Amino acid sequence: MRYLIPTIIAILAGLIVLAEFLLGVEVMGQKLLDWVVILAAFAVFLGLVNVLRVHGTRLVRRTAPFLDRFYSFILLVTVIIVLVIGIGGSQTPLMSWTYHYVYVPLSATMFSLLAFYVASAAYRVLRLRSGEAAVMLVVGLVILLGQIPMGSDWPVLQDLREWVLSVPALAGIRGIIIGAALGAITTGLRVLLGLERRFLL
Amino acid sequence: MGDIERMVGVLLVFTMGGALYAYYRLRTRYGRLPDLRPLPLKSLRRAIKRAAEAGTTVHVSPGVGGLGEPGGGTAETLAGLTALEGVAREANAAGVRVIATTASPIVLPIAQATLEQACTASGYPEEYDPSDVRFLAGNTATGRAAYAAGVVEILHHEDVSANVMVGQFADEYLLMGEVGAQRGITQLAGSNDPSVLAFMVASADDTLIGEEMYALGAYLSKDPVQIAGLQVQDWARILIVGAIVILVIVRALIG
Repeated sequence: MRYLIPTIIAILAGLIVLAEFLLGVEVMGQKLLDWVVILAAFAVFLGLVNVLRVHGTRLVRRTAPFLDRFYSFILLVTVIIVLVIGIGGSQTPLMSWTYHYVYVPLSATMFSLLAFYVASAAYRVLRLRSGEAAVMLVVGLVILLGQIPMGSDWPVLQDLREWVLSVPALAGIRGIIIGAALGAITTGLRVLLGLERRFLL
Repeated sequence: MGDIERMVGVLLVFTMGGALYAYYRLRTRYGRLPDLRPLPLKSLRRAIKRAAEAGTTVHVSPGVGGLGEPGGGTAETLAGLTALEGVAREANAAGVRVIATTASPIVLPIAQATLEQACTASGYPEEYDPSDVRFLAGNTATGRAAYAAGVVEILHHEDVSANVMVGQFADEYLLMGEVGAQRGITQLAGSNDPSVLAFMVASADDTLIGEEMYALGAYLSKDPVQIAGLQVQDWARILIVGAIVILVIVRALIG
């Protein structure tokens, strides 16, 4: 009984959305999706409680290193400050300033590290340690040389680059996408057949 | 594609898939399990054993996607939660602590329940600590960077020796995966996004490519429902490959 009613609700919700997709009509599907957004908004409170619990516990217990506790303290203070600022709404000048001049630059800083990490990861992959690495190295060089402006002087290189990207690489990507789509369809089937109960725990 | 073609296509997929699922579900129920080709899980299993000996931790991320939320990623997140369940069972049985992180508040209670059930199933319900499942940031474009920063902090400070990241990821994967690789952490990563898979191959010890990600649950849990799903996938793949080959030949002949 614990699983029966949620399973029936899940199957019905799935069938309604699928039927609307097939028939091209709109009855309840959009409403169901709107409910998910409302649920997600409530779930954010759970997330907040989780953050307060994890970092509050670390702060109170003296087993964690001082620096970790200090960072947890900073995080909790920041959470409280942003909560207080956000009480007036998400569009207030102060909230907007916090988002645009604190959050977005911090996010951009994190992503700016990607350039260095890509170089580091590429170095690890392209080290000549096996036959596979040798193939990757050669193909990587062809693509790289075909991509740079200097490569335009060698039409053969550009043709080779074009061929690699549009034949073997594209075939591999399509294979991955077809396989992944089949996996997603099977997962959907499990939900519609009432066999996927992981989310009903 | 017209409405009728779309309807016929979807109905065909679901009726054939449903019938195949029911058939293989019955077969697996009566113990007729197929032989599964090996997935690259040896490194992970070795890492869990090493973690048990060294008293270190395993980190699992079911991706930055949500469940049914705008932005998609539901199927990938379910695959990630399946991975969490399987890894948590093996790790808890060996006495290894598992930390799970999520970027979706909806996934948070499900991940907590998954970890609790894994602890109970492995015979150590007292080992479950709700704080071991952490909501790090929202799954918006900027939130993903915050999530990556949170995971990097865990990889640096929580004595992690194995890192499992299976689910929906984008470029932020490399921020976490590369830190794991540089710290010598054994990593298993899986995605169905070809652009992220390139990062995963470069930084993880083992990579689950596309459909392998969805198959992970069957391998870790040996659950007949999931194994039946693998057989349905296999048949669907055979049909699609067959259709592609036939259409290519027909097109070549017709011109």
